[in-house]
Amino acid sequence: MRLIRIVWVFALAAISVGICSCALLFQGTTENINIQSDPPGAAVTLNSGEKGVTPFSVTVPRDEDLQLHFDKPGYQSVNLTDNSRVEGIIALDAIPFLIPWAIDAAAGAGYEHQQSSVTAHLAPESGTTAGDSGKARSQVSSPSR
Amino acid sequence: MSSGNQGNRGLAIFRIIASLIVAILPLTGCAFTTGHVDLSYQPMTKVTKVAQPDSPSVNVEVSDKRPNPVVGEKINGFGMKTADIVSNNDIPALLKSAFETELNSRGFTAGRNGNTVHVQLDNFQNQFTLGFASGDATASIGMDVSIVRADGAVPYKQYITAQTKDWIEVAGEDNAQRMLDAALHDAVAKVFNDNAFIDALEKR
Repeated sequence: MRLIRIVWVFALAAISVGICSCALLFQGTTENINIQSDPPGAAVTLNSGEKGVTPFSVTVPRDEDLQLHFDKPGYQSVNLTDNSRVEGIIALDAIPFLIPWAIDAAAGAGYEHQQSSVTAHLAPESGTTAGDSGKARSQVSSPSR
Repeated sequence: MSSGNQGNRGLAIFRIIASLIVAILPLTGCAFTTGHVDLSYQPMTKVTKVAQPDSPSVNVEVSDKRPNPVVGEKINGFGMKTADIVSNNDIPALLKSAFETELNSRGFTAGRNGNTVHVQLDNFQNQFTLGFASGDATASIGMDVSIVRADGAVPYKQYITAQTKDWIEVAGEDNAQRMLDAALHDAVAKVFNDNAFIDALEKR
């Protein structure tokens, strides 16, 4: 009976260590986001002030929401967001009394952006195509997560 | 006898779990009610009058293109979003007032016959993130600023972003308000510190 308890305690301790802050250990606190536009060559300004011309990728903290402004001469500008959300894998951290969860959350590792690839479809400023209703279409391609 | 022991053990386990939940809950800082902020604009200091007597009058127009009026979200101790933070102010009106204040302090007169400053507000929000023992509040503003002459020419067009960040202990309205006020000041300062913007305003 006592041996079984000891085995249980060790098993729980092993599980706790094994999955403790797994997000921080296995995927780090940043992630790459690919930014594209249709057509390419749009100037993109992120809310951090970082700029780039599509297509390009940026490395961003996992826990920070992204706001992107796409601008290309002759096309309507487009604003897109790619917000951060709590990642499903963090649920494993709940098993050893939520402490690893707090570590992953504090480090920012327990989050992911909703899209790993953001694509803006830019509509021409004049002579919009049928179905566009004169407004810029924005669309985000979201690879399955 | 053994069923009584089992009952006592079950009760003890229940008490331990209940105690843990009660102990953890205050640490999570859950706040499920919508927060409200009263934003204000702090004008720039050490401003000199640059407008000439023959400088054209300036009209300011602000359009709000934000996807929603929420300016932030509260989070709990596990980083989960718990409630929205909204502004008691009309933010486009506040932004318009901020531009008019700065234009006035530089000697430009308000009027519709000269240049028009178009401001398209795309983003105005604060985000809380967790850290170890404390967290961060990051306020971001994104706006498209252009100057349009009476004849329709656009001598100035620039996308302006401003971001202010500071550490916080509480992910609440007060800190969101502080950071948003700072970001607003920073965004307007970026526009008015741009010589190209002032040059474009001085000409017809």
